[in-house]
Amino acid sequence: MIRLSWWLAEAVSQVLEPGEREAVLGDLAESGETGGRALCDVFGLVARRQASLWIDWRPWVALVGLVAPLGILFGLVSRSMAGTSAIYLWLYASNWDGGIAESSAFWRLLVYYATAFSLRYLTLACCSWSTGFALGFVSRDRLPANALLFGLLLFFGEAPDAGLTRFGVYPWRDFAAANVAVFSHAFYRVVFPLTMETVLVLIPSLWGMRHAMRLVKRRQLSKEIHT
Amino acid sequence: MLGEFEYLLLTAAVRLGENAYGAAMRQHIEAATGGRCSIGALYTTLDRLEGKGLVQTRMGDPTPARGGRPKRMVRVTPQGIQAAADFYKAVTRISCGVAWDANPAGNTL
Repeated sequence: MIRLSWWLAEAVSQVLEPGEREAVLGDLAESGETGGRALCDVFGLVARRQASLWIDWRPWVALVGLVAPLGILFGLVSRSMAGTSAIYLWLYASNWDGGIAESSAFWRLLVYYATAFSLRYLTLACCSWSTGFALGFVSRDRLPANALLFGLLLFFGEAPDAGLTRFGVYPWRDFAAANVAVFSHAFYRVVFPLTMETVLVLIPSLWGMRHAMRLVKRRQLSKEIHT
Repeated sequence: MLGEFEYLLLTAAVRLGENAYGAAMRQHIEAATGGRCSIGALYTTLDRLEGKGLVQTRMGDPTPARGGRPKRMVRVTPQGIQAAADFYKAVTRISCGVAWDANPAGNTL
């Protein structure tokens, strides 16, 4: 438990500047703090540092103009895609029998849909990575807070009917209402969309954010070396 | 005008002299006040004092007692000493004639 607390404290301290992180962890080690106290102390410092970054008006503009709309949009798109995929998945899974496999038309259609859906998934994952990268680049020190808000809005943000149906993006409730047979199953209604959101949006966007942070840190380091 | 915690930090740093760094200052403040001094409060206040030009900090050498991690050494600048002296004078002046121990309710005048 103590080791876990120390490990968590070290993990949380990654948000701090390298110099400050080393000094703080060294102070805690020297003071002989317990793992729990060390974790509380590091968490308190990180919270203060993050809070101080939000005193300025610019991060609020970025939050309202970029992080919030993107989180809601990606949530809407991924849920819409999960809804369409769930219907096809249910159709194939519920109507499967040995005779169907002998039909060449069945295989042709299966390959067609599998290719079409795979391309959509790949596009969404690539867009998520790019968005994560852009957010990471813009947010910099505020990235932990922005990433958390992006994730919350992705999973819990409800978009208003903003005319996105014109672009083939339908609100989740429309899918659920029109396809009760499919969405009466908890798997298609809850597990499948959550998995899609996690695999196609959350993981690629976090990956993109990580890449952006590395790039920003590398640039800062090379700037410090040159000056 | 300094805040009370800023004054405590400056005083601890002056007392510790060449050995003023995070853990030692924290221990000093906790011993003096009897309360807990959080790392978050300590480091954010140090940054604020450094921003005001009242202290200067630098990274020290790593030591085995700290798991090979360096210390953030603190030095109070002449402006810091002046600000702490002004704060102390103000507290002393305003406290003149007030006997807190005699009447804990606060109605001392």
